[in-house]
Amino acid sequence: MSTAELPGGMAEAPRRSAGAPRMPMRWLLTLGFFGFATIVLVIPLIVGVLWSFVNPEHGWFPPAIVPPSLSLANWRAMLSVPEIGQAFFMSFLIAPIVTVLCSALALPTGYALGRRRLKARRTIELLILAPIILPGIVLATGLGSMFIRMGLSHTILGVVLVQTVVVLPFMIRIVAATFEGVPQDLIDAARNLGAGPWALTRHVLIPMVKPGLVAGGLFTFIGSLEEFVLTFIVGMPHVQTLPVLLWAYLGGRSSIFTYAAVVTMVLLAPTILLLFIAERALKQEYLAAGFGKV
Amino acid sequence: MEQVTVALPQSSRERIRRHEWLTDLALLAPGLGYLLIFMVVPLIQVILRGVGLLAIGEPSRLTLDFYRQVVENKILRDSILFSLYFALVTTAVSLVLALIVSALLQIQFPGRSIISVLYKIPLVVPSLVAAFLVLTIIDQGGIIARALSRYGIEWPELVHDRWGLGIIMVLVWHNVPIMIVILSAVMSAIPQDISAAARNLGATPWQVFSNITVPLSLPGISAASLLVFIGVFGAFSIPSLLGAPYPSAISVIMSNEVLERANWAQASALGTIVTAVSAVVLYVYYRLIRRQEAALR
Amino acid sequence: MARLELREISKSFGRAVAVDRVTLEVRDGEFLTLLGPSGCGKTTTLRIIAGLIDPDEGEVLLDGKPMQHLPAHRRQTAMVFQSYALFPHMTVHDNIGFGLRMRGMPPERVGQRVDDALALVELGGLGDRYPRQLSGGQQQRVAVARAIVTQPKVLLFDEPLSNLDAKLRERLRLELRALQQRLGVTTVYVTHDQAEALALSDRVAVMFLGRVVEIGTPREVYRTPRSRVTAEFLGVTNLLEGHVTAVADGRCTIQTPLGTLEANVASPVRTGEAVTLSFRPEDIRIGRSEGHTITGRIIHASYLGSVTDYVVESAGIMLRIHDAGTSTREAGEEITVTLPPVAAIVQG
Repeated sequence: MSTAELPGGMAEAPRRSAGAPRMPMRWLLTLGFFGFATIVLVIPLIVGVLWSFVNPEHGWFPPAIVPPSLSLANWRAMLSVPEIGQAFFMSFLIAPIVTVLCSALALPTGYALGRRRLKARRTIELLILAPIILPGIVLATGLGSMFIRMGLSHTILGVVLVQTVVVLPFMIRIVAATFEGVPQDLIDAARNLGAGPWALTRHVLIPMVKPGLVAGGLFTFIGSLEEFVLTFIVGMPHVQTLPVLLWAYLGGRSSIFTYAAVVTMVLLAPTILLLFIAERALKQEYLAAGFGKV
Repeated sequence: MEQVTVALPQSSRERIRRHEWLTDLALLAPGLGYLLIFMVVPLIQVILRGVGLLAIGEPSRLTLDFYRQVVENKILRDSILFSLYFALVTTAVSLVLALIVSALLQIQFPGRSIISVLYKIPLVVPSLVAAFLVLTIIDQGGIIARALSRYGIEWPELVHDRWGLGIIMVLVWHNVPIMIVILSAVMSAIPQDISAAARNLGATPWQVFSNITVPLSLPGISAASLLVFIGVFGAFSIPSLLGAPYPSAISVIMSNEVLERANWAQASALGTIVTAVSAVVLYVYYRLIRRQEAALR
Repeated sequence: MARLELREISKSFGRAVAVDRVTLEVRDGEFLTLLGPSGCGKTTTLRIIAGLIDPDEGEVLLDGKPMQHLPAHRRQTAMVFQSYALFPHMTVHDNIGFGLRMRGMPPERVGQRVDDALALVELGGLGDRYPRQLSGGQQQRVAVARAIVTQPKVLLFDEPLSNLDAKLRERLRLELRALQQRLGVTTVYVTHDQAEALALSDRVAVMFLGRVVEIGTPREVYRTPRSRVTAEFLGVTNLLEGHVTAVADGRCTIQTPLGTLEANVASPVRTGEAVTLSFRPEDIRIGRSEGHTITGRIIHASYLGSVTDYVVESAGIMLRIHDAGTSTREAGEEITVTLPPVAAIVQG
């Protein structure tokens, strides 16, 4: 029976479920969240952007809240200061290679973890978890000396290989979770309808796990762009990616805030853009699969 | 009726089992093999080098000298304590913030979908960039200091300070979203009916949170805390950029040993200690989680 | 066309025995239902027929030929899943055509056959939709169409109606039966709903704890169950303990606490043997008529619409009585009832 049929007096009081608070409460939450997000996210981003547009001739000294004048000088430096351009090129050369390598390694292993009954499952899962748990600096210490001996230090190949160690576990876990999420009924139905192993993979498994693969790929790409410690120790000084350069601008030598801001924006723009584009792909469960279950 | 028992012959069952096993191995080989070569082997090297074996540039000998250094040298000792300190504080602060935000995100409110994208931004922000962004706000020359100076209020030194407040702030900023991702996943898995039943029995929203949501989220809470603690304990870039000259984080000491003194052995001993601490925390976590999951079943 | 045989099929999962030496024959064009409570092994049996699960022992034969060596995708045993298992990334058209494409049929012929199948299940015009855009009942029809379009030798149904509401379930039940009869395809249907099993089947096989305990026409298994499990699972029944006093002409006389009753002899009984009798609540008449009459007191009465359900106590025994009469009686009332002239002896 719908409430409309009830006598007027009873129908007037709208009923609320536990999860839906009163309207003003909800707007208060909105206000709180957006206020908080402004302070901790939006303002820092705006200030970061402003720093990249500071006119080097006038600078931006306290107590000015906004820079006295803006210019594109720092962005032009991106083209004229060769190390910025080179680092940009290096980062965006390495990231796709790492992504491809990672996907190739993670697909079969993720499938086995997600869909097959394995004997030493616990041990395998722990092994895959280890690079996430192990501090990068410890790995860097071990890999650094190993790569020196193998002649891989200061090479692009060396950096690709070390970055893969750190991002591979996320990729494997996401791929495994996606494969695991395919309902057994669908696989049974496909086989029942005459699909052999190959047709099953092509027509059912791959389309079903595609969102997970895309999410994992994006993760890997961004992970590679961001990786610092291992790249720093293995790649220095020949292979300089954007994070390594940022480190130099912020602390290593005298800090150059304006250049740091430019590098920051170059690093941030693609990742934030990807985040928004891939919002649908980066569903909670994939993220949680990557980080969550230990 | 005649007895027809048609079972596959034993040998062919055996063959199928072996075939299955080989398939598993072939599928696991790429990922696991890679990790074995590029993670397990170097890790073993680190452990061996920490006790004087596999030495670089000098004769190898089994020794505990590098561990004795850690005990005797105040700089090394303090670096471990300092890393433990900011890792614990960061984990605690992040957990409180993440719990509040995740619980509030379970409620429907206008603009919730935007917020649930926004909060993930720090997730994709490199830690160095995070350091830079927070630096522009909280440093002495940062926006807050500038704004306050107009009213004659002095902003305290938060970066390169001996309490590591700058380090902690950036680490919290960077790690809260990871926790929120895990906690909201766990919280949204709690059946609505359970919270509704609690409300129906007279619990206030706060009581629902503390008596229902938090206990049922315990597996997620411990997983998130573990991940953040271990990650922060070994963090390098943020402490190295924002830390005071003394005390340094253990990771900063390690990189100095490697890059400035080429003292791989000392760095390896420290690395072994960091790994051991992580392993112990992980072990304790597994003991805890087993009990929690048993309790929830 | 297709005769399906199961011989001594067994399957265990770990230590749990799911299917225990099941032997069955499904005749050509027959509609056979596996009926039983959840966990009785009926779904496992169905999946063994489809080749989705390998039995530990035993054999499945189609037209007398063993199928054990055939992988799932080579058996012509199309299945309708409880969850429908429609591919979410394919349109209705592509879902139905999937099996034909897998068999290498050229696209234009696939299209023709799919359109025919869509018309058959009255879903013409919905071919371009995705499964999520359909209602539960429509999804169910797509699943059926997808199964029959390949012209399988055996159709398998795994509780296909259990996710639908009662009204729709009843309508689709009729449609399924009509469709099966039109196609004349050998069918195995799994359900835990006894009404569904009785309404649809040529024969019903009752499964319990991994075994087929009884098999027969709907009328046989309902009216004259041979096992206590069947009697209790198929609706409400009255069970009465007694012992045999005389056997003659396929009938026997049984002494019970409620007096002497007669029963048909389905399996040999001896005089003096202790037996359990089963008779349905609707077989007991209120008032005096032909048969053994007893008196009792109404403990509880509930009006169910088509009948009134009474719990009546007599000589310390509780009887369930379904009375279709219009008069209502209250709890506490003393009544006279007539027990059925012939009851069934059940085992176990």
